[in-house]
Amino acid sequence: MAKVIVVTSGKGGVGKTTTSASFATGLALQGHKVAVLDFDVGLRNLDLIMGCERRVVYDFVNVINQEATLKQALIKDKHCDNLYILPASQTRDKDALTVEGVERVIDELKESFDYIVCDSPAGIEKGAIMALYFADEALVVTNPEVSSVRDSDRILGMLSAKSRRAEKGESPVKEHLLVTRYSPKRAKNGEMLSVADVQEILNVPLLGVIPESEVVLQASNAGAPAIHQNGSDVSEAYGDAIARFLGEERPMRFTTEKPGLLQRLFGG
Amino acid sequence: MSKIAATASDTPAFDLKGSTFPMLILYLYSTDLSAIEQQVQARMLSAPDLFSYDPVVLDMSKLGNQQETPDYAAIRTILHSHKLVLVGVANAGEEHAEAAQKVGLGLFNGGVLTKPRVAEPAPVEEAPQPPAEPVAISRVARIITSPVRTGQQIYAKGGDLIVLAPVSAGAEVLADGNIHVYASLRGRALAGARGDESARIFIRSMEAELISIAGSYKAINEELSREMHGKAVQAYLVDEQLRIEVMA
Repeated sequence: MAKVIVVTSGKGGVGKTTTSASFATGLALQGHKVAVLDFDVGLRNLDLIMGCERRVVYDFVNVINQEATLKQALIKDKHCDNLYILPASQTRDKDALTVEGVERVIDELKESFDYIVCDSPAGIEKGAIMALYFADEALVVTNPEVSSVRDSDRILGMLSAKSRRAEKGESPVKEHLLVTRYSPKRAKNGEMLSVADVQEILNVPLLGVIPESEVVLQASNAGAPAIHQNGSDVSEAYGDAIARFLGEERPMRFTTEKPGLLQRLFGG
Repeated sequence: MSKIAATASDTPAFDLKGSTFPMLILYLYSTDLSAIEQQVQARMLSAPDLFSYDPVVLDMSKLGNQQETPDYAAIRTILHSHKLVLVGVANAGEEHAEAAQKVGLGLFNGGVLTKPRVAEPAPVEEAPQPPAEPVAISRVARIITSPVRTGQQIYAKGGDLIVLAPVSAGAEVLADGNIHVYASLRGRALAGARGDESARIFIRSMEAELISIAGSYKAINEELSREMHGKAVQAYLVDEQLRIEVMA
């Protein structure tokens, strides 16, 4: 049974698209068939992060308006065989997304994919609601900072009130917390909220902690999801989160400061 | 025999179960229809959207049996035009009860209903009138088990609200009765939303932005917050002044 996962946050710039790209890639690397959908109609970033912007011919809105088939619009990822991208349209706005249209696309994707990852736009308006409406599970991406936490809380409220599962009275959307751009050192100095603070306020099971890293920026400029940066903290952290998502138990990493060189040498 | 067996094997068409619902009580002091109509209208003017076809029970205990039998059908029509649905009568004498049954109303007897508690909808009251129709609230609690998130509003109409999960900053919980929060309250809590001054608020971990009872409120400033942050508190009204105290 295919699962629809929304990557959402309320606030912009916290790492939704980075997470969508790496999470979808990670699931695909585990052998699952994955489609990743860009709901940010009018802005279109996912294709850049995935490095397929030059291959966009048809987009999500074309499929909704039946100007193209899903097969024509889906772009095969250049790194993984079982990963496909459905890019957003850059020339339309969010009103192009209709419940019936999105439902048709998602239902068709469910026939041939294991996971459908929906990259939500920021905000709590139509685009964000459409992205979360059909979700079975939600990845709530939050930065350790009060306004991000507040907005995530708002979006969690939307998930429990405005999703299709909520409207139909089915079991609620399964929520996962992903704390991104985390710096243990700055949290320790009180410049950031700690993971524990964020978790206490949001009261959602923690799926993973992604450390703040230059790798993310390098990866997006290079057009390859950060998870491909083998050996980097970010890649490892996403790998952990995906393993936990698939049911594996892994200890939480990157929540405490790395020991310095001298500490490592002298076992301090 | 075979007939019974056949019926028993069919899928059941209904279930009959006992339950309790919050219900408004309208205490009748007079059977004068025009007086009732006028005063109901005056009362509703101050809060036209207060009701949405809520069931209401007519309590006859203040009327005495000597008065003539009220015209139930006419009262039902008056109430219905103000979005209240007359479902039955309570504490009616024999004659009154019989008349009520004839027009298809239910009978609530045995004094199981609560005492009158006047809910004043707004401070804008006209000149003192003979007590018209005090609206009593019988309290049935609404229980919330999942977190109340930023931007969400939960209202326990006609009763208490019990919240077993955190109430986020920017969220709002309201009740006509008491509010209990057995977790952190970081948003706003407004008890006695329809004017009940005896309502109280109980909080396991006080981190609220605002507390209000029957319209008297306190924004939680820094000083208050430092004193009570994270503590178990209760809030209640003393002479219309809101008092918040830490519970031992």
